Amino acid sequence: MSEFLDLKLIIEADCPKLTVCIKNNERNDDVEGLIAAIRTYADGKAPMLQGYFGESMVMLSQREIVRFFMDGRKVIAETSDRAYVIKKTLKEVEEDIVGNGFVRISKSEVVNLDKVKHFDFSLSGTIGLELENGACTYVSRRRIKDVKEALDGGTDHES
Amino acid sequence: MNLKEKFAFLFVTGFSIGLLIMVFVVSFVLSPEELAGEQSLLPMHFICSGLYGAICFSGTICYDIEKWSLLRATVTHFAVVFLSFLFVNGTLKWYPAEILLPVLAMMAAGYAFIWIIMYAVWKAKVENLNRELEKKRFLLKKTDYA
Repeated sequence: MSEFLDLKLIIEADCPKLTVCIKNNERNDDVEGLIAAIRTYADGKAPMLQGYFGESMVMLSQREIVRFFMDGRKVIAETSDRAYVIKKTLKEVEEDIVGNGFVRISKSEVVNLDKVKHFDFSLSGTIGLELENGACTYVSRRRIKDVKEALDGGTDHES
Repeated sequence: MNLKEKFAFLFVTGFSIGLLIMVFVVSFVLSPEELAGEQSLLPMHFICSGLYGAICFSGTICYDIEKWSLLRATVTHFAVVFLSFLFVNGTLKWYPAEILLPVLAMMAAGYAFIWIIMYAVWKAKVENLNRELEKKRFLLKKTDYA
């Protein structure tokens, strides 16, 4: 294609998901630039969500959302500084955010793995999670496998 | 399988195993004289053995309750199993009263051992998650142009 790079396109009918594979002899600035461009394109494809703060409606980018959780019967989207009401069920929200770095950690909560600071394990055997906005929550033991798979998927471009 | 289905499955499995154990005891453990003395209560023995098995197995569902810590689930299961044992033994006199304290001690030791193993396993899983998270964060920093 050019002296800079060769572009190879593989179309397979049974391919489950758009997969990008970057091949080079080292991880240099060109590789970083390509990864950034692909991420920017992918972020642009992620649908924005309608959030309500009081009476005002705000369009929320998925990247800014730290977590979704149930407060009674309401679904709340929390960013680093505010909480918005989402007028959808958690299941409907999950359909909008699937594959965009979010993972369900319990029956009533979905978190953005990019906003997780760390996991901890208490003496009583509960798995805690601290988020970048300071919020702390709990991960269900049944969901640990899903969390691990989501983290493994996010680090795939290292392999 | 949701929780209700899992509970039902465990209940039936536990009941079946309890019955099988009683079949084994009646066939190979009890002497003919002991069996003769228990003839009228035999159906009760079978039912209680089945129910005890059902309680032990289906009780493990408390480990699947999301909001419960590992400690709470373990203590609850231990309490349910031991109290059921006390009730069944008190009703059917499977064992003499003198062994109850040693049984309690052995069960407590067994559950403590299980707790230590589970704690170590889950702690290792959480440490692994933190390692994966660090790896992901390192990659994000390198590619974040926002």
